[in-house]
Amino acid sequence: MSGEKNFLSFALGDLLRRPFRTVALLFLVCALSFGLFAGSLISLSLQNGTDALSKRLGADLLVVPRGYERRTQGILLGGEPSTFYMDAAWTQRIAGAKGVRAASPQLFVATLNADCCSSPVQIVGFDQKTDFTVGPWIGSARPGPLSMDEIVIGGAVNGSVGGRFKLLGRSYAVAAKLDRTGTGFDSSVFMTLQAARRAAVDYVKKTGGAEVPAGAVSSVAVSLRDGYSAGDVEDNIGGAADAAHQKISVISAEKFVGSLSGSLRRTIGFAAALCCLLWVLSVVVLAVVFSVALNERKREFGLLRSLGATKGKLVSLVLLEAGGVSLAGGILGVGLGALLLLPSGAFLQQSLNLPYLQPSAPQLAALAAASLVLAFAAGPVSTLASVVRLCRDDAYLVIREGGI
Amino acid sequence: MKNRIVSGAGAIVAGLLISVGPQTIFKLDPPMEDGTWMTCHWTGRAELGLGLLIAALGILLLLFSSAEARLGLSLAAVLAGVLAVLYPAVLIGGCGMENMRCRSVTFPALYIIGSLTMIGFALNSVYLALSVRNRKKGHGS
Repeated sequence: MSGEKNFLSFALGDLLRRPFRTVALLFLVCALSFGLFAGSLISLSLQNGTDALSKRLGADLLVVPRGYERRTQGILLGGEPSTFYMDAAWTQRIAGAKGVRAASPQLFVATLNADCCSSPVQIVGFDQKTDFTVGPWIGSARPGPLSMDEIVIGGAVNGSVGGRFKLLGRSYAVAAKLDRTGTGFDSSVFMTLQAARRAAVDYVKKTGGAEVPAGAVSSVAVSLRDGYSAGDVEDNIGGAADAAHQKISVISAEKFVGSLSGSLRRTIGFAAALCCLLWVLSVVVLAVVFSVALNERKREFGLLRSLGATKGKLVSLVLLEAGGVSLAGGILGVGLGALLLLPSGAFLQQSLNLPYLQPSAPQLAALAAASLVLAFAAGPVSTLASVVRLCRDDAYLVIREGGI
Repeated sequence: MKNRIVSGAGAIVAGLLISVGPQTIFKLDPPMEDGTWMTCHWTGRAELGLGLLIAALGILLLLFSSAEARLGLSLAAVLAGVLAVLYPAVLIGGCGMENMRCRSVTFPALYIIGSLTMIGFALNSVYLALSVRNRKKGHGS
């Protein structure tokens, strides 16, 4: 036991005797584990966000006034508040188009600010009778229909079930709070279509802006009948719009999420390639440094051999030093990555303007452990060549090469 | 001497970032339309005082040569780092929406600087405690 303790303190002492080399190696492994952890955390968060978006969209098609496609994407991705509308008669026209199973209107009202703060909030009004997109998420949080004075808040809105939330001077009861999705839904407030129309009137009273026409809607969510493709129904709805000389646009959820997933796949692939390159580079640099260090220490190792240390002991010493440095560097890098990235989720979502949902605690623990194992492995793996050389050489040769 | 300069300068930089940062580099949200301040403003005011206290601890760390005195100052800096995190996270809080500037930029910056202050000065305290113990041992033998 005391022999092992001496052995450990010998290895530690050797690392402390060469502080510059130890710190440089520590920094290298720290950068490696930071890169691995940060890269995989951001990639996984983007993946989670895109998955959540495709689950939450619910509709196969979204019909919006022409020219408002980008604003709709802004609402879905970043919760950027917008108010726009079209004729409510469109809901019936779309519902009657060939291939449409269900069509449900929604009204978007952007408040100037919530009464809590100087930040605008997106109000989404949905028709409880025909809705098939918002209702299913709320259903699990609160069974039964919403009243005029009840709202459902997104996961990023500060409030709790049973509490009150003031919007445009009117107080609402928080009926449910949705789980986080990493999308624009997180910072939106959901209410019935009638309540949203009343909120639009409140908005006009408060700001003096243009009135929202009675019965107006902002978008119509469309679900397809089996056997019809999104492209076919898009054409059918487009045909109906042309016949009525109306300007509308159809956003295909599949295309929208597909384009996001495609660009995300490329980004994740690029990040994975960079992580691999970083790992290989770190192993090569560490191998060179350990090789040089071992050359410098030939005399020391020769003496240890002549004093009775076995080859196994020397190999253990080298592996212990390399393992110790890479473990400490790995922990430092993962800790730094967690410290910098975990509180910055909202900032990253806004900067990237993409759905960004940070992984759950078990997923995070698995990521940290994997990054740590990879960073830790870099140390011992990089010493392999030096260890083989050490085992091959004879004690006499080692002492002679060392210049004794 | 090296420890005095590094720990003192570190505390001054961290203290200035905590106190002045929310007003300049990682700004808090502006007041509401009616001129009233939101909760995050009061977190900023509390951090202003706390940051200046940490910077003052840094100046004292530079001035005192006694390891015991610097150990006490380091422990105070650890506790101040804890408060720098607790003000926005629990004790005062911030705005209602997570996508607002104070919650997406200012608070994360305060969490990071506060945590680094905490960890850095906890390590410095351990280092100083060990050096005090070793010196006492040396005198004893």
